[in-house]
Amino acid sequence: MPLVDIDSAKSFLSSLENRSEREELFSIYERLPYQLINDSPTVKHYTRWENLDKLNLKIESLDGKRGGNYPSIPGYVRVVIHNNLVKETPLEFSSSVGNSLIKPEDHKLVSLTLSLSRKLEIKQGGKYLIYHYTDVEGNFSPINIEIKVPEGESADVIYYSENKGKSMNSAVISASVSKNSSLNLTLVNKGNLSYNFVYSKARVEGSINTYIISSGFSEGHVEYHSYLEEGAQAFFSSRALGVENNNIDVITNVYHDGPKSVSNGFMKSVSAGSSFVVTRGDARINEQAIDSSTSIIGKAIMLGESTAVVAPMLEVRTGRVITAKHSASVSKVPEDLIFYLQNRGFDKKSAEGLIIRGFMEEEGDTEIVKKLIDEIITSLGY
Amino acid sequence: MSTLKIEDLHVEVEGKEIIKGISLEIKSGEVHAIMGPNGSGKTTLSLAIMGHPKYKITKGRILLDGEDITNLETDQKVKKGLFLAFQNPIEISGVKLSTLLVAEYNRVYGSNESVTQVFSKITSLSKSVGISDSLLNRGVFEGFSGGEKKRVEILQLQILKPKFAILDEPDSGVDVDGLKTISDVIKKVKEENNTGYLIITHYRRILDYVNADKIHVLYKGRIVASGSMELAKLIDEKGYEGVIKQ
Amino acid sequence: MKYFTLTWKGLNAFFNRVKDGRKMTEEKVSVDINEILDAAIEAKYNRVDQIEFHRRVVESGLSRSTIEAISKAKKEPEWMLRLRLKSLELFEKLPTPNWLPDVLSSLNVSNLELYIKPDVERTDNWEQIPKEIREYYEKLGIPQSEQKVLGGLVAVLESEPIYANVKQELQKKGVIMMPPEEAMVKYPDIFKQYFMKIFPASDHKFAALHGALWSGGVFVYVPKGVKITTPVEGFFVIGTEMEGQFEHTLVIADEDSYIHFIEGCSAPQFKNFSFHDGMVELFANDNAHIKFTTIQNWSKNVINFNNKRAWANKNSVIEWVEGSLGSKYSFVYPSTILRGEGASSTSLVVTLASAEGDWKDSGSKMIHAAPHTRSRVINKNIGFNGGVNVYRGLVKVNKGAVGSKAFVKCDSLMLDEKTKAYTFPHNQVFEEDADVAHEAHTFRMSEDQLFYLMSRGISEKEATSMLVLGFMDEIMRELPFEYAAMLNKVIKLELDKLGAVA
Repeated sequence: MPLVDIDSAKSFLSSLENRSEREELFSIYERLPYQLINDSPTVKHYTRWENLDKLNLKIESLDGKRGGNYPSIPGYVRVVIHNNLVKETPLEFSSSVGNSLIKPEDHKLVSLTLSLSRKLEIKQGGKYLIYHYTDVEGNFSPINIEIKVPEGESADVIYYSENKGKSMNSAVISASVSKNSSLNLTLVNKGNLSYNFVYSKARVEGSINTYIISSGFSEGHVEYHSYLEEGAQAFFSSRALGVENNNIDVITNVYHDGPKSVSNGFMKSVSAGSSFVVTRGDARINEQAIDSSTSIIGKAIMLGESTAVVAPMLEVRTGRVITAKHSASVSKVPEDLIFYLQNRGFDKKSAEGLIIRGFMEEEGDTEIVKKLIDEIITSLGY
Repeated sequence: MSTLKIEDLHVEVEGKEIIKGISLEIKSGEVHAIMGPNGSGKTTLSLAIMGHPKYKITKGRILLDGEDITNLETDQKVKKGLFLAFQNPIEISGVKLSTLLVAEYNRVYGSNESVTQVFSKITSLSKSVGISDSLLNRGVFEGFSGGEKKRVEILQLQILKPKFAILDEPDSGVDVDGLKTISDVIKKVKEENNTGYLIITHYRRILDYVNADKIHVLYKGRIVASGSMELAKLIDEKGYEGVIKQ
Repeated sequence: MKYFTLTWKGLNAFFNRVKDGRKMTEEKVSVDINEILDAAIEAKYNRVDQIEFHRRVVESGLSRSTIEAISKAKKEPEWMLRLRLKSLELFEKLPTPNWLPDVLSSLNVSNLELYIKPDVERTDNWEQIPKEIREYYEKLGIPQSEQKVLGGLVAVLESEPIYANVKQELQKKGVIMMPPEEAMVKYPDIFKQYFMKIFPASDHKFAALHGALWSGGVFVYVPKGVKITTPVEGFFVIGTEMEGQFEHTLVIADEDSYIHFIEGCSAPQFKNFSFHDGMVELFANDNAHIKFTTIQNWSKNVINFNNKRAWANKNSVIEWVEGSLGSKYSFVYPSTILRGEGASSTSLVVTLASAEGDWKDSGSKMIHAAPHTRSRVINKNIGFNGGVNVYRGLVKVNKGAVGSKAFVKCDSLMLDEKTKAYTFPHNQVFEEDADVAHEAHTFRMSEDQLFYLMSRGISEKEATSMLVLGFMDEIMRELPFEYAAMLNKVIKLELDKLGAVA
């Protein structure tokens, strides 16, 4: 059984424009394998693609009821996609297919997503909230977003994906940040025993701050690739939180292509219950990127019978580097810490919750990120 | 009026017996002190009473107002009215001090007041103990000096208002002014709340400030001497050796 | 009396071809390694299927009948023949590892010549040593007498009283040290218990190739409670021609014993590339301690694969010290399986990639399979003249390995613009009560430090080598004095080749 039911996919596809291009993309999806090389010396796949292949999801546009209003943030332009229906959008959905930075061959699920989605384009500075919500069991919901920040402007884009049960949200997101412009890109993926795929690429000449959050998925896979041109500045933080039987894989890669580029990143994860959480990333400084620097810190804490994998990779292809370093640590929450908090009246679970919050929150977080993280941690039982 | 009774307590750490039968009784409003050379088991005693997983009580009981609380979970003991001020508390980076204090305050007073009200109460309480706003904003104990750590512990004593408080060396690493501040809080909480104390210390000065009622000397896991402030004076003059030999 | 304890095995191999007036009857088997490597690389990209791969392997000279001939001439027991044949099968079946670089297919690798004649004579003719090697030793400032020792002139050594004393001490203590071929026959039970069990042929394609073609090396058994205080060298053992290529070292330290084993390797210049696929297996029983040091300074046309793995039982200690200075392509991953409670292992590796196209691939695998185990990996890479250093490591903490601690530090020093450094670590933790930490740092020579030293009157070259040696200090400290001094000199000689420090 495949990830998506073919008939459902073909029928959905035919309801969109550019049918032949889309069918071509769909056939690419059909012939590509999920992964060509092993993830590690001991493990073939961190994300268990075979579990996705059992889902046989349909792609349907269904009106659903959502308890309460869709989330909103004052000052942000809001786009809402609910069960594949565009409920609200002040922006244009383009009729063209494909994504300027991301090729269908980049990943099997990229070609699938591109074949079935319409493109949302953000072409100027401003604040945007894209709420991608799926609550119908057995539904697959794709989205293709292209962000282009023109020179001299700044943009703040929040992609908030939320889905529950046997459903999957799949997003292809690209961002181009021109010289003298900046982008805050927040990718929040909130799951509830559901499935999630995000493939994003950023080409940066100016500066970019990326926040990636992924939690609660039975299988969750987020890939973020950023390419830094001359003088580009990139900061990224990825945070993964796994509970129960979650399997979450977050990949954040940064490639320095231009000289004097700077990247700084954090990869954090909490694996609780019996979850399997992987945070990995490759920082690469190419030959031409002289006088660049990169620093990545990875931290994982474990609670319970879980598994944590941290794999920060560093490739330095030129000796003319300012600084290139990374560090990773995996540890459990120290017994003494829990004991101290118990001594201040917190029971074990509350103490763990306090520690998880303290671990996950960061100085530079925007208010909305803070709020979302808090909501996620609460929804996970802490 | 409450009573905290320690009955013939034996404590083992990693298979080795450290506390070899200690009995104590503290009533509300009483200030007891435990002194003794390093390694005699003072901190072990305090951690075992609070239920630290590494310290196993192999014999004896802890009774609070007649109720056997020996094997309760740590946080349950705290809810029943016990408190421990740590000698060297561990850093909790990522958790802001103000966050921790607000949570503790709300647990004691309920969350009827608004966040801003609670916060301003915490801020003024902190100031009175010499804890600045900037310290409140930092991770708990992150980069705090020894003296700052002791002030935070004593501040929490003030917020939590326990029935009985064990203070593990509240005076070490603290300067003269800090010592006065800490002693004032101890006295204030005793007056307002009738809290009973077990203070672990090496020095007589704090005991003078807080008017200790009874002094116990702990040596190699046993109480080898008990007395009034006279005993503390003797230790001050002759050292522990002078007392233990007897 | 101090004796120079370093020797050069490959050199020894060279000598074995020069006879002391005696003729050697040769039974020679030739395997086209070039063809094998090419086929392996094409298999990596699925360009050849299994049938085609098998055909090419057989054509290269590596067939079942070849293996049978080798085994027969060596008079091996049935079980060893079966192990070799099974390994050959696995070699053909297993996929090519990702880390095998494509560049190998463009090299001209010389054939593997196996002389199957167990009673090869040794030589004592110093003059037979190639001029370049003699000059090299002279540059290193080693007096002639010691150079002879270096030359692996075992015949000479065997008559030297110094060497005889060491041998005596070992014999008295019941230590067994002999070529694996001999051990296979004399101590079959213990040999069979561990040989290629610690590093099975099924592990990867080139472990399987080793299993099929292995020849020579050393078998060491240290009895219970025996502690050998002086480091023991590998030059004791004499093998057949080219034994340096597929040699197998198996060291077993029984309970409570201690041994520090040193392998020193060098090879004379050959015209083509030579391919080495050796294996080291260590077994430390309860409370035993094995320290295994390899200082490898093969010449530039060597492709060096070394499969190294240890089993550490309860409260035992395994120390790997590895210096990969020579060879053009080197793939060495010392690994330890911490299978007994309280076992610990450290791995100190220093690699030097000092020429255009040098590819030094190293890393350590530490598997924590028991509670309260500890591992520490320190990997130091120095690169210049366009060399490439790659670190591939794995720390895996299995469920149940409570209280385990692992630490990895990987530092790369890049001395010029053209060089490259890659770090690919994997930390997989399946146990909550564990502590795993990893740091990697890539940096250039500090201009400030260099300037300071030069302002104290030290030349740039001298200052550079001081800083480089300082960079490697953690590893230098683990070596016996003579080795550290030797390493010191080798590094300085290599740094001579460095262009202007940018």
